[in-house]
Amino acid sequence: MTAPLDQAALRGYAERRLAASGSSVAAFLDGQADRDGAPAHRLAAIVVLKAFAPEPFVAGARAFVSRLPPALRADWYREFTRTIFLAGDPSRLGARFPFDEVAADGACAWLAPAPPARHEALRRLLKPLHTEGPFAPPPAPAALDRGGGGGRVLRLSVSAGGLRLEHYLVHLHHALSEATIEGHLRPDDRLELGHVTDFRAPPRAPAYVRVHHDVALAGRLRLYAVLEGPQRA
Amino acid sequence: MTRTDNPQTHPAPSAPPAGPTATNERRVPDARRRPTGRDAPEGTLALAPILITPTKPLTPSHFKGLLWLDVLYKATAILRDTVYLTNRRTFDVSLQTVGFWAYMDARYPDEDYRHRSERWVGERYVEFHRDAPTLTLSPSAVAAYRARVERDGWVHAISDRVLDIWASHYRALNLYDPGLRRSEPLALTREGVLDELGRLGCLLDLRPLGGAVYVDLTEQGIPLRQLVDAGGVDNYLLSALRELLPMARSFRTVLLLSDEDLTADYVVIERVLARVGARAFRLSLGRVPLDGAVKASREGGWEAYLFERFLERYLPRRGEDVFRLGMRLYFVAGLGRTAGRGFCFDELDGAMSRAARLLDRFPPAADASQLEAVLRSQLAHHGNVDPYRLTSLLFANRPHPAAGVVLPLFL
Repeated sequence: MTAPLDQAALRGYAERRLAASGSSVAAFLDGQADRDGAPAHRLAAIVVLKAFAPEPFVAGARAFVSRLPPALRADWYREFTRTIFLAGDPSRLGARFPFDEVAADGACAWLAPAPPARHEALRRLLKPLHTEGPFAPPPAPAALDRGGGGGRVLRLSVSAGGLRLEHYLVHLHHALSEATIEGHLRPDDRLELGHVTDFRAPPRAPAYVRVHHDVALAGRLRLYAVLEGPQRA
Repeated sequence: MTRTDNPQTHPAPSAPPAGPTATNERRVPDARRRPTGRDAPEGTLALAPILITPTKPLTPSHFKGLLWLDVLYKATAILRDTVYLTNRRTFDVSLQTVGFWAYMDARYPDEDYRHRSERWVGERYVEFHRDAPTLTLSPSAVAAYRARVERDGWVHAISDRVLDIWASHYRALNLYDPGLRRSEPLALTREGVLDELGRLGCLLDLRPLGGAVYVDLTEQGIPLRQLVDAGGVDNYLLSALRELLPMARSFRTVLLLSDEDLTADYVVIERVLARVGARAFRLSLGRVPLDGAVKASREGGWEAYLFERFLERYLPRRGEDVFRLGMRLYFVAGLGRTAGRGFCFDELDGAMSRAARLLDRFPPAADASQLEAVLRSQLAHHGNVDPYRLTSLLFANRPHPAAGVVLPLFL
């Protein structure tokens, strides 16, 4: 019997997620997970991008998270896998800022989570990613192969309705990061990516869900992403 | 090179205009201005100031810029080929100008501006910046104004009046006028600039994502500078590049004169021009504090310092020559380059007295080779005469013995 897709159910998901990492529920509900300009010890990863294509972005994000040292990964998970998206061209920055991961198309690159001071120079050079107009996710290829051929297939559905690109990327990235950290999405799994405007029905047996504040409706939670599977390929 | 084509449909080619007499050129009509052999290898020096938008009164900060540039131009033109670039259209097309025009049409629809004073215009300008956020100026209406400027070089009647007033200020000071009203189609279209920047490898274009467009010199450690916002509206930096990028091919050396507060944008312009192969360098001037504060014109504070006050205070008593010399002594040497010294009438009075004594003691005389020697001794690193150093020769307690041959440049 599946739970209805109401605020109580969404809150339940959120609380379970927070419990898993030992993060503060109060901080989450207060919106601190979104806040920038935080105390000196707050970790944030950086993504620099000049273009977006789902396949290289997803592959890059998965590789980035998989390669983080376990202790840093755990700290970052506790800090809500905070990630800052900056507009910039990785190819012009690589000499000054050695990226931890660069996507196959060179359009985006990652820097490992660090306290704000460590990324200050880069953040002064670049601008926060800001777009206007409704973002329509490109028709994603059905399967985003990660290689490895481990034989499992998972499906990530992302709700993109009414979101600007920068919001969409935040939720997509959190979903990929956390699903990887929690062990639901393994490096050699094949991943399928699909988009919905909004989730109509609650997920049946999700491996992972991404619930967060609804960017359009203050005080409400929204289901942004669901990871289902694995199925055998 | 003719400019009759609409630049939107017929973008200018990127090849430079034939010969050194480019369309923006204005020369000092002075038979003594003959370059020596030194001139040829360096090429022409182009002066590219940021134009003051004709939507407000000229304040001491503006006069400082205008007088610096006047001394620099007249002195440098004696030694080498120098052009003073000007094109109204580059900056009239900006949101700052057009927004004010749209506001005036909405709020004062039947106004006859022909007899309005600089002060009155300034008061409207302050009012516009104070009230404009509460008025709805539709983006399409603003775009229509910009299109008229772009296409026809149209100038709103209120700015027409301001330009008339400024022309008379120029005459009073004998400021070299490169063409206050000169308005030419911009050499490059917006897309032309973006394409060129793309070719130069310094463009970050996020329009496919619904984002902004930036000049990207992050490779050189310079922060991104926006050219077009995420909503598709371009800014004055883009307009400036539309005019200056092609200039960089025509003139090997470009001096960018700007307000200290615009340094970040002018660093970007300088670096972009360098990528095109021009030697570009910047001269930035600090604004003049009034009553202890440095403010933008839109914030007011200039009311007691308009040119009409200088005229009535000095012209009847001192006469034209002393007035013109005294203004230059004070605004160039007296105030210095930075924003350190606040404006002070007592000090300007002192400069006028000094000017009178100079003219008594050193009657202006013509001696081309002596003049050239003095000017050469005050050359700045980039090949222009340093106006501060030159003016200081006159303003010093012991003026330069050849002051007489230099003074004509200051009258």
